[in-house]
Amino acid sequence: MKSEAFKNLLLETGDLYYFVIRFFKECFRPRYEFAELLRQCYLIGNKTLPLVGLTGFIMGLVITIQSHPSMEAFGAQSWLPSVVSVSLVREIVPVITALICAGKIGSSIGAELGSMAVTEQIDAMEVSGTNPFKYLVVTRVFAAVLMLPLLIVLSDTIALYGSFLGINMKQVVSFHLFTNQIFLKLSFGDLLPSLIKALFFGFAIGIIGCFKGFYTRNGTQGVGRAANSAVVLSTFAVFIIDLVAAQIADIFHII
Amino acid sequence: MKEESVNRAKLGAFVLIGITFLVLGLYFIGSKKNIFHSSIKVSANFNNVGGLLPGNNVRFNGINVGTVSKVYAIADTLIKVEFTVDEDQIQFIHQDALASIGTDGLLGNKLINLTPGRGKADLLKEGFSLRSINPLQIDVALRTLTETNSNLKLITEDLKDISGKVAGRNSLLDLFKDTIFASNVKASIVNLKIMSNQALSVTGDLSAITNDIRKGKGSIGALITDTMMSKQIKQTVVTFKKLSDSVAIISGDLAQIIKNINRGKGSVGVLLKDTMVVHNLNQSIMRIDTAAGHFSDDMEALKHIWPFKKYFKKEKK
Repeated sequence: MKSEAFKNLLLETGDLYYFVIRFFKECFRPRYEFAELLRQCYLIGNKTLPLVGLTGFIMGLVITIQSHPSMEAFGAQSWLPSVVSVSLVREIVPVITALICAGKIGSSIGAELGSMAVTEQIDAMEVSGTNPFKYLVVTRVFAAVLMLPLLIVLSDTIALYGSFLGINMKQVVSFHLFTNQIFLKLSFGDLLPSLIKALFFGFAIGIIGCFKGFYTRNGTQGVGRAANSAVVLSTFAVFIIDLVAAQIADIFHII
Repeated sequence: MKEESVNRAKLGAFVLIGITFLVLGLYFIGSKKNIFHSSIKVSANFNNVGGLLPGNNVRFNGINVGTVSKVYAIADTLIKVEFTVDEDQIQFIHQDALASIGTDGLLGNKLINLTPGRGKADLLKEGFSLRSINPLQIDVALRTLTETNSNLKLITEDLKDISGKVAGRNSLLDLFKDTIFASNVKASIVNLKIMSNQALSVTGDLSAITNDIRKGKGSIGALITDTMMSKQIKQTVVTFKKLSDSVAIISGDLAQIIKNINRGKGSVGVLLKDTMVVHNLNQSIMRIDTAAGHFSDDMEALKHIWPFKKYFKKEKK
């Protein structure tokens, strides 16, 4: 049983690898599904924004409120905007946004493609002459890769506004001073790695959701399992990518 | 289909807003890091930069004017620091400005402080090497501070002893505490006050007197103010002058006479100069002497003669 589980893991990894290779082959071939791409962008971008924005706002507010006592202990309340903004932009907002997206996008892609696979709509699509991989997978993954950085930028903005409100609960800091303080401490080395990281987050979320959905078997039960495992695996992938990104950024001294 | 176009419009708005914020963020970060400003490159040499890194701020009188671009060693005790200075700020920075390494706050980042010099030199130019002050080394300062502290400790201990002695002996303190002493002091102050009042009245009198004098009242006043008298005094002085003039003439005559005498002219001169006369005189004087001796003998004899005897007896009584 154990060896079978191990074998399954290896098989799945191999399948995922081929899936990724196929994605890169397909995405550069002509006949681009632009309308579908835009529709997926709308679904992933616009429809996720309220959730991501609210999460970002709450994270900004909460991190500021939680950091306040320890900063106050050092008598460094004036450093609160810089410290909070750096931690928000570098780590918290990208990861929280990616996790929210993994939950929302990953599950929806997995469930949608899974039900299509189970009801043999994918096979029907192939028969009717449309490339299902191109139409279903490439558009969704591409949309996720494009939308995640934008979501993170907007979420950064909203989170910093939340942080501004959080600081003004305990002390009085004008908006001008706040923006001055955060942009004094922020550097390209804070923002750009987080956006590059976001591209990988989007890719991982999209490709795992599609992979799980594309190869769904065993009827409606399989659809539920596909959606579930897509969320779990993509969440896990987000953390792995975050770890690797932090290591790489450290190696190249991107401070 | 209509819904589709609305969706696309919403997507477009989403993407545009996202990109706008991204560009704004990048711009603001870049503007703080002086990437979009045109700047010039200058340098300064230090013995020790104390952990200065590329990217640290350069401040001129406290405002950010640039960033450190390169830090490297050019000799075993010399570190060259290259940094940029904004072209907008260059108009106030002269070549005699001093570069020093400081910290942002007590524990903050290292930075370069530019302090203006006399302002008589030319403006800063590309590639110019500024004069520098080496940074304060905290460990050296602390070492000195330790010595100072131990000295201070000794001094405060001594002070403690002294203050203890003062408190214990009640000598100086009693003086401060003594109410009688205080009342004495008060009394003497009152006396002083009275005295000064008197002094005041005296000076008042004095001023009255001087006033009177000025007005010519009293003898001194009259003396000082009487114009007739002053005329007379003047006349007296003139007479006195005339007198002294005639004295001078007389003394001139006298000098002539004495000169003549010296030369042996005139009877007195002959008398003084002629040695024969002197000899005769000597003889005469000797004769007079002997005559006087005889005279005194005669007088003695006279005492014993009757009419005179009585007188001398009376005299004796």
